[in-house]
Amino acid sequence: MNMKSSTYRPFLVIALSMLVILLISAGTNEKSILDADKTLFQLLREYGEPVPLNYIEQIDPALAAAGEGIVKEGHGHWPDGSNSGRQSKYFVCTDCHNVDREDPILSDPDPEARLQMALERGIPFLQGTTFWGMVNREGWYNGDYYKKYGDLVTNTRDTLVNAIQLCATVCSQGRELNDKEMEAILHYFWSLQLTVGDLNMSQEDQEKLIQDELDPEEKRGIIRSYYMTASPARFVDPLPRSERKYGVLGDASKGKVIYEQGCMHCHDPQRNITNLGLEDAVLSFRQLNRNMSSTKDMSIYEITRKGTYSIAGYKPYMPHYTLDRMSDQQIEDIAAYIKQEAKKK
Amino acid sequence: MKALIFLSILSITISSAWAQSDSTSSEALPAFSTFSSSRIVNGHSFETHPARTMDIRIMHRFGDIDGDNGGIHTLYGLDNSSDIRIGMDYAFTDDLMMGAGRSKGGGPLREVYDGFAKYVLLRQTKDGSMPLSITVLGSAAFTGMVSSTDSSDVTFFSEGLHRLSYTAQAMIARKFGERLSLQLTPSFSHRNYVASDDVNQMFSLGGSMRYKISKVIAINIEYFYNFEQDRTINGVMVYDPFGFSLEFDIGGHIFMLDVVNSTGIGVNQFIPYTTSNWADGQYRIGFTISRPFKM
Repeated sequence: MNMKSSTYRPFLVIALSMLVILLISAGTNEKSILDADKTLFQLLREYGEPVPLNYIEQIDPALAAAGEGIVKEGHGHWPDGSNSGRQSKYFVCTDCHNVDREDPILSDPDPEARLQMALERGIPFLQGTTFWGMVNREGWYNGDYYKKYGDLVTNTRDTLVNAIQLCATVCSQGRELNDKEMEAILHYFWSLQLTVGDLNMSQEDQEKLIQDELDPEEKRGIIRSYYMTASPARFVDPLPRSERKYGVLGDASKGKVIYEQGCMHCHDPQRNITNLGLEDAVLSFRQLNRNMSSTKDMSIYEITRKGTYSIAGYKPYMPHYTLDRMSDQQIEDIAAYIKQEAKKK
Repeated sequence: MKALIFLSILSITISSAWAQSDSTSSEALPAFSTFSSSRIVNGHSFETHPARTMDIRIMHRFGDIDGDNGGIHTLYGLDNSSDIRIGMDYAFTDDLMMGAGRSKGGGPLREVYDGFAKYVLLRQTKDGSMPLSITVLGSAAFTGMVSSTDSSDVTFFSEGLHRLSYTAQAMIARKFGERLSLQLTPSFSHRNYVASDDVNQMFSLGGSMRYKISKVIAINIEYFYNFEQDRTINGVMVYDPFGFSLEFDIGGHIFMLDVVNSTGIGVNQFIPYTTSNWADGQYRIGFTISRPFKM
């Protein structure tokens, strides 16, 4: 037996060595060249980026907490214990906006990928873009938002505080934010800025940044190619009745996610955001199913694309989903889920 | 007798639901929107409005549809109004609501000002760990009418306190799935001044249900059994209040089309003072409009 073992030993050593070599070669040698925890703005600053308006270098945790309160609860607690008072009696910011990462690839605002991420992270699927990384954008109320708000968006497109103020007074139908509240919100938003690690930059591009071959502007261009400096906003009309598939080609499982993490985010009666309470129950699905072919706002095809408007006597309204926030296929997915649930006894 | 059977069935149903709550699949039982509104027909539901909501509520009851005072000559009661109440409720928190209103007055008492406070003690939960919702209510009413000069009359007020009456209620409710909700309402009424053949204090038990036909339309039924049966007020027979309504929840507004025998609207009115009898055609249509505003 001993003779045989010693005969095979060289082969075993060779086989093991080959296995180790194979495993090493199958792995990657990549490592982050840049500090992943560095803020995106700090990185851009190293390549000559000018300081933006409303930049906050040192975030005050107490002010950021007050800002977070205003954003999430509609009012914030100041460090002295006093309260900011309610900003709007209808909405809070997080009724329409997330405060977490919602796109897996920051340069690609794909609603399908966003839905998958919403499912995985248990976050809402909403009309407004996330506040996470909002201070790293360079434009707000972009694209077709001019069609909805007209000249109101003119001074919001390059100035964040104006965009926040428009959101406070028009979108949430509340009062204007005072300077102290605005400062608190900015501190909170700057606490949600992107870091280098969030960009998932390739090693090749990271190397380009530390080498001297490119000029600073080109380097900033490389960095910017990894995230959206302005969220696209394409308004589209509701699908005409002749083009609606009424869920035939829809994926009901995806529709369920949109219904529960999108529609119900506001229409859950317990949240008391809207007068139209929906339940995850058959009577709600039957009502939605009955109205699906309508050309009025009770049809999911209409309401998702048009939303509603604030009117005299009833100020709160539903913002619509742009094509970049919900695809036509996703509306068919909701239709498929509604039809499936409406059939249940 | 029929009333006792009805209430017994309701009690057994609710108590059996309590007993089963741990073993059934209670995930499907929503713990919210047990009733669409804070009223069922005339009486209160266990529901309160969400915090900082003001509800403007207009209730109207027409005259008798049939009987001596009804028929075609009053267009089945539409020519008359037996009671009208305009009131406002305000929810200070999700659990505490107070309200006040003024009624024409549908019983012997007229010009009625009423107020109430309502507090939710327990709420039914989705997971079945709490199978019932329970709310308590205290209500008081004051009549501002001119006192009768006839000392035997129920409206003869020799002192101000005689104008007051009170009701205390507990509302025990449960939602059975999406369509059906039931409520039991043990009540205690106290009136400071009553006719010589009447009683100052009285217990009653209400039984109510809501059945949703669709997302928008529901049927409500409400009955109060007074434990002081065969009661009279100055010789006029008193009956148990019974009514039903067709409820339209049209998103922001609740509209109810009611059919009731009671002429009065508030709990201090319709529970002790219903002298109209369904069997004599003394029932009427009415409507309720509720419009909540966020404040």
